[in-house]
Amino acid sequence: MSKVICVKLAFPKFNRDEVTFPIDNLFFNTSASFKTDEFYGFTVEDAIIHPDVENIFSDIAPKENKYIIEIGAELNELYPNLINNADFFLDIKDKNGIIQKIYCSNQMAKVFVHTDKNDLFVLYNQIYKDKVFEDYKLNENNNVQYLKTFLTWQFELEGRSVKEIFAEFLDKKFEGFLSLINEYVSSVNYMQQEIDKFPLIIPSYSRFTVPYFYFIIKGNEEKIGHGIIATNIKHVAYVPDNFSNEQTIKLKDIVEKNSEINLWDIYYANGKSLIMNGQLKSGILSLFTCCELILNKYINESLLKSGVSKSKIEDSSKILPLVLC
Amino acid sequence: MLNILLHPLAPDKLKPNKDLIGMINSLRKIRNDLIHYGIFKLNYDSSFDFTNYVFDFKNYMSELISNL
Repeated sequence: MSKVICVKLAFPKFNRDEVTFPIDNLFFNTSASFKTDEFYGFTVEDAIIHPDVENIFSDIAPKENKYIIEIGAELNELYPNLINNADFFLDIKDKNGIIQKIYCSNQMAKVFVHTDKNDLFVLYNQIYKDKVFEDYKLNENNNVQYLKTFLTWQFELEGRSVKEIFAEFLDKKFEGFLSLINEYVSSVNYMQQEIDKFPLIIPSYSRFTVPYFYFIIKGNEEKIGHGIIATNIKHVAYVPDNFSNEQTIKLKDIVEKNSEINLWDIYYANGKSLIMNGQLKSGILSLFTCCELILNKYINESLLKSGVSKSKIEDSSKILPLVLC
Repeated sequence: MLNILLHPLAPDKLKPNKDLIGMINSLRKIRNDLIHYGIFKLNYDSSFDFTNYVFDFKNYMSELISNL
């Protein structure tokens, strides 16, 4: 049996190439605070919205009719540093052939702050740890969470109010950001296959695997707003579904293997949920298995019906290749 | 097996229609491209279409089995 050993984790090096790293980046050059129980989200058009909720950042006016917005997302993995720099940027060509600057950091952290008014967490680059701890009067007992690779993208939007630009443009920008993230991830996947014997292949990111984005919005008079926006509120709202009595009995039957649920139905459900979570290849594989299983069932039942013995069918199924070809 | 045997084997009332045959053929192509040539052309949206194809195929096959 393998030994259990104690591993002391190595912390990031806090490196940055100060000569080339752009200073216009908002996330990695400032700290941003967010309320732990508040985020923004898209809703259906006819939903009745509380007036307080509707006035999103109404105090931030545009600068020459423009806002600077930076959206950021934490990925599911810690991707490699570039030349020992934990903060770096890449010029990624988007689908329209336009170069977009994506900022990446492997040294972002969140610290949870309890104040009399509300509970917050502060997102900051660890280069500014001392300043953040001083500003928010924190000490080593505060709960710090180190994030995985954090990506941000900055762009400008024209509009008269934050509410207007959110409603009109932000949804499309999320799609654009996801496609830039996926350009980066697929390139890293390719590189890892070249340098690593057992590369970790990361599936594409989608609205389900990046359920929410952080954003910083900057308007006139250098006014800045911070927030979290969810592309699917249910994913981040911590409201679980509820199984009824009947469904609970069915669930128990399935886990206890008492049910007569077909294996292909389970593979279908698994495949569908994998695809919804952005794991396309695994999902497709599961769906193919579903097809193979049901076809096998059909062939076996047909053979049984035609008088072939069960043992012969079992023997042949051991050598029968996939039938979907 | 699919495009050669399924049609003759199916009872008259459950013969696969053109749409279903077309759908099965596209499923086969995606599968063969992936398994034999390592080509994976699906994106997030087309994967949902694919899921719907499998759902229809699964329902059709279940009907065939129950009518045996």
